[in-house]
Amino acid sequence: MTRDRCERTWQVEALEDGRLEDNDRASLERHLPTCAACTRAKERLASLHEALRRIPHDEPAELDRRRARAELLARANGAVVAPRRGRPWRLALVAAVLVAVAGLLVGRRAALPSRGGEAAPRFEVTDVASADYTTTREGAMSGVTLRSGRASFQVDRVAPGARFVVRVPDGEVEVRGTRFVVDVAGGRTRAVEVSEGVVEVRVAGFTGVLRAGERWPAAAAAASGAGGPGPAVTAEPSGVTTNDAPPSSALAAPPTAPAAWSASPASSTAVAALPSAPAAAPSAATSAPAPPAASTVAAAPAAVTAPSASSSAADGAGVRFGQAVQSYRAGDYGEAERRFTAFVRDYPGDSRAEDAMFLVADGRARRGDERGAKAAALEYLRRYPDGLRAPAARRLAGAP
Amino acid sequence: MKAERDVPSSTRADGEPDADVVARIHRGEVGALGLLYDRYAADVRRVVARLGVASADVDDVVQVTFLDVLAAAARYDGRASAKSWLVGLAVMHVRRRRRGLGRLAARVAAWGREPRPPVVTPEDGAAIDEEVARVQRALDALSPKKREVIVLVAIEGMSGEEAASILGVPVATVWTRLHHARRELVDAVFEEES
Ligand SMILES: [Zn+2]
Repeated sequence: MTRDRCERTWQVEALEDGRLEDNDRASLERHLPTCAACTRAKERLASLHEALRRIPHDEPAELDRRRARAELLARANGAVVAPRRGRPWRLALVAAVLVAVAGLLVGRRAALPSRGGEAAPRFEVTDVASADYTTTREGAMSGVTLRSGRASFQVDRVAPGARFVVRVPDGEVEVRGTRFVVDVAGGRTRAVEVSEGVVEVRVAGFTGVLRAGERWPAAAAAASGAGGPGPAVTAEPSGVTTNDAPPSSALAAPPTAPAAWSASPASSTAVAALPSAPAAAPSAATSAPAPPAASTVAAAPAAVTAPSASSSAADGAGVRFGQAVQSYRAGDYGEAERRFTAFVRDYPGDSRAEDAMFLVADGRARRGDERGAKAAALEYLRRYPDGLRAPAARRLAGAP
Repeated sequence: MKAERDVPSSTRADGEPDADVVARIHRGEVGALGLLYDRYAADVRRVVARLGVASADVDDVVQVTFLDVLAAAARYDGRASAKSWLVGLAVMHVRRRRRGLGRLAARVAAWGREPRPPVVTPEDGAAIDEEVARVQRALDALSPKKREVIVLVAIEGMSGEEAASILGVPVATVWTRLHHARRELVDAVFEEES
């Protein structure tokens, strides 16, 4: 038992690293209890490793993680899209709108047959009464940009290498040959429901696969995703649009109109700069309890198309939110505030509660109540620090 | 190579093998990059921080590492878990950053030492004993090459082969560096107390 030295001490490290052959290991394990030097070396190594693993490292808060993730995907999108298109995404989107207008269909059924030779998936959009969308196709990729409202999609089998993607303000839904419904309001995706096949959902920080009969979100709508898009494109309450009357302005717009969707009074209003834009329409596209759009194809039974994002909200929530929005739009901000406040109180888990809280602040600002607007904006930010309206709320709160 | 494919690559419920996720990224599916991020961002971030990147820069290194995946996906070797592959990409960025910082070393020195990250949550705070503080100082004092092997093998528990592949050196070099690094750490942490 030498005190400090043993010619086998080096093996202790090899043992720790799993580098000893079976025979050597067994031999060293027999040696260890008899050798103070080797035992000490083993103990020190163990406590060194234990201390190393206890060195703290800060974990990011969930919100920061979501922000970082959203930023990564935004940068990655730029990296993927820019070289292929040779120009920024925004410009590319304008081009996509033009393509879509040219391809916009007669009546309510949006069938885009494949052009010869190209492998881009064939698809059909139905139930478009309240939907504000454009279609795109490029090479083997086709898809729809859905800004608000609800639309049903039926997609033929997608060939290998081909893609069909529905872009929503806060993410995308990718398809592999299926039937499904996507529901967008206020710049956020409220629901994706699959009646056939499989889709992949990448929305608001969520990534996952939905199979037939499944929906996202499963329960009450989650808080808005990190780093959501800026000004939301929102739609009128869908009660305004009657389902049987074709939303002619949307679909019968002259193909030359570069922005058919924004020219359509029944379909949507682009909100450029909340809160200054007086025409700001809160997201109510799917909130009013309009009867489920009568589908020309029975792609989606009513039960499936009914907005499900707010499981906490029965139809009453939609009615009440719609009433609050009506007051707001009529310029009766006092009444709107009462209704929005009651809505938030009664349906705190509803995805529209966020909009309601913001619109309280916005309504106060429109009435000239700056201090009240600031207080309400701060309250909104406290509850939705990462919310879709956070940038506008920060302006109202007077924050930098 | 592809032989490892049947090894479970992830405990996530969706169960899609990492190799398939990387293949989708290669096809331009940005959403798949989000999936890979969900699986491994925490691992990459932890390794980057342990390699000594200043806390203010850690998230940036993580971002560029995952952006690298867009281009590097074409060279993915099909291994069942993408973790060590991602760590390899991250190590390259940490090294690059260190070289860049070397040129700024004089200026940085004038600013004083970067404060350590806010150490931990209060309930863990009590556990940060003097021994861990000594180990932290000793780790900071290691050369970058020694620190790499300590972090990958001794802390992250990677095999010598994995570390060798990540660091681009023979396995024997990993063991040699690890031996010297451990001796330095043991000397710094334990000898001063005995
Ligand atoms: Zn011995």
